[in-house]
This record gives sequence, structure tokens and C-alpha cells, in this order.
Amino acid sequence: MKNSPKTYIWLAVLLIALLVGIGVYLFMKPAEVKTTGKADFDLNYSNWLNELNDNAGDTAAQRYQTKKVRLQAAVESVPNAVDTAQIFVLSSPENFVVQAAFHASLKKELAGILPGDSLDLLCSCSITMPDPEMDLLGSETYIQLTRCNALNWVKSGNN
Amino acid sequence: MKYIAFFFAFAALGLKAQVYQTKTGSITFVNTAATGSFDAVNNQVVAALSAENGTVQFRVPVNSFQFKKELMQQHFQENYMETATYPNASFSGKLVDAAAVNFTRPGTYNVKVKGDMTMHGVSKAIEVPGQIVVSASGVTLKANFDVLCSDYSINIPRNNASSVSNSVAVSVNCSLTPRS
Repeated sequence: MKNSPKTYIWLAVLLIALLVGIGVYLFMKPAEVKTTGKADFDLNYSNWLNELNDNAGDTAAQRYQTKKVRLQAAVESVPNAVDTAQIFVLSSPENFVVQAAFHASLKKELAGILPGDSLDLLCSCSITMPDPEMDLLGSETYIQLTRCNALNWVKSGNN
Repeated sequence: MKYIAFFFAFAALGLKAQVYQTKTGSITFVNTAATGSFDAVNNQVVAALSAENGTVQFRVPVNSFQFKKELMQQHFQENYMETATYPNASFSGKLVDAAAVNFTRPGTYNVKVKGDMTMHGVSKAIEVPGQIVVSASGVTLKANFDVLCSDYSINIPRNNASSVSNSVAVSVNCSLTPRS
């Protein structure tokens, strides 16, 4: 059976429409508000902080920059609300500041989380070692977790 | 004796309040190009201000910028800012006329800040106008200024020039409280 030129034209039009559709979908696709998929690093929180503490310097931090990390940690405090995010400070030794930031659209489901609660988190990671030239900002190592996804949440017995 | 004790107590309070800090400051930017505009927000800005000498420092985790569209966020992180290699943007500078701001009197003060901004591994001296709002709870730093991508070796491919502009409008809004 021989296809007519018309068939090929229709097939070409369909293919172009499909490609344009895929392009538009990719262009319009909303940004991920919480991290999903497989973690690049499944971490034991206290061991991880020890690792960063023992290997002070950018090389240790570099491994984790922008990577998906999974960890379990307790909430230390909940800073004042900001409009476009929900931020929790996680328990850490004195020389660390660890923040977990969630997108504002998740605020409702996180509303009951209080200091002392334990969170199982999947987040995108950013680490900053202390910089002597930025001494006003303090001498702590900052771990700033963003686009966090609370996979599980265990309430503290005190709440 | 009582008066001397009061004096020292107040002096100690004053010294403690000389540095203001936040770990949840906000920076947004808008890029307006020929085919439309896009914006992103970051709420994990670490900033500090010394009322004593007018030193101002900011550190911005670039990975924390949240976009509305996935493709733009991915391009921003991987192609333009190369976040894995350059995870932070920073600013370190001073108020040009720190004496003009009375940190003990609530009000809005117009200021200029001069210093070095580092982004994408490139440092550049800048001077930007801004405002310091002094209130009972602390100070708020506000500034609006433009940044040129080309100044920081951020290359925009020619075929993206209609959707990404070289000039980016940056807006800073950080509420700082006295460091405890």
C-alpha cells in the first residue's frame, strides 16, 4: 500500500504540533516547590555535621551544594513568618546554623510543627563555611536547606 | 553607687544592640526582556549591620531563589549562576554617612551603601541608594537597584536574548533585630 503525499503532510503537521506541545509544556511547567525523587545523599544528621565540622573548608561542603539530601532532625525554633516561605531552624551544635525552608503554599500542612518535633526531610542543600572577610555575619557554618519536603513528622512528647 | 550600676547596665545593653542581624532576609529580582518578564524570591538571606561603624554585609544562598517556572529555575541555577560552583552571592560594604542614621530614634533614613558585591565568582565595587527604617524592634534595610549580568561574567546565549535581559532589577527587604 502506498501512502499519498497528503498523509505525509498530515503526519508532519502532527509531529510539529506534538513538538510544539512538548515545548510549551516544558516552558510553562511550574517550578518544583518541594524536592521529590531519590535523594543524592541519605544522611545521618549528627554524623553529617561531624563530617562538616572535621573537614572545615569548602571542599567538604562542595560535595553537597545543590544536591538532594535526606535527613532527620529536630526543630529548634520557628522564626517569624515571612510571606513567601515557612522556615524552621533545626537543632545543631553551636557552630552551625541549619535552616529548612518550605514554600509558602505548604504553610497550612506545616502549621502544627513546633520546636522539639522531629522532621524527616528531603531538601536541596546549600552550605556556607565561615568566611573571615564576612566576620559580621558570625563564625558559624550555615546549612540552608531549601524547597524542603516533609516526608514524615513526629511530634515531640512535650507538645 | 546605684546610678553607676544603672549606667553600666545601660551601656552593656547599648553595646549588645550595636549589631543587627537576620537569617531570613528577603531579596527578589525581576528580569524584564522583550518577550516578557520573570521573577524570583529568596527568603534565606543572611544580613548584618553594625550601628557602630556602619558596616553592612549580606550573604545570599543562590540555590534558594524560588522561581515560578521550572525551566527558568533550572537554567538560572545550572547555566547562568552555576550554583554548584558559586553557591553564594555576597555584599560587604559600609554606609556612606553612618552618622546620619540615629539608631535610637525610630524613623526612615535615606542612605547610600558602598562596597563590593560578589556574584558568580566576580567582585565589583558598587554604590547603591537605600533606606534604613529604625523601629522599636530593630532595623529594616531596603534597597532597589539594577545589576548587569555582563558585569559578573554571566553569559546569556544570543538565542535567549529576547527572553532574558542583561539588566536585572533587584529589591532588598531585610528586617534585622539586635544580635543576642
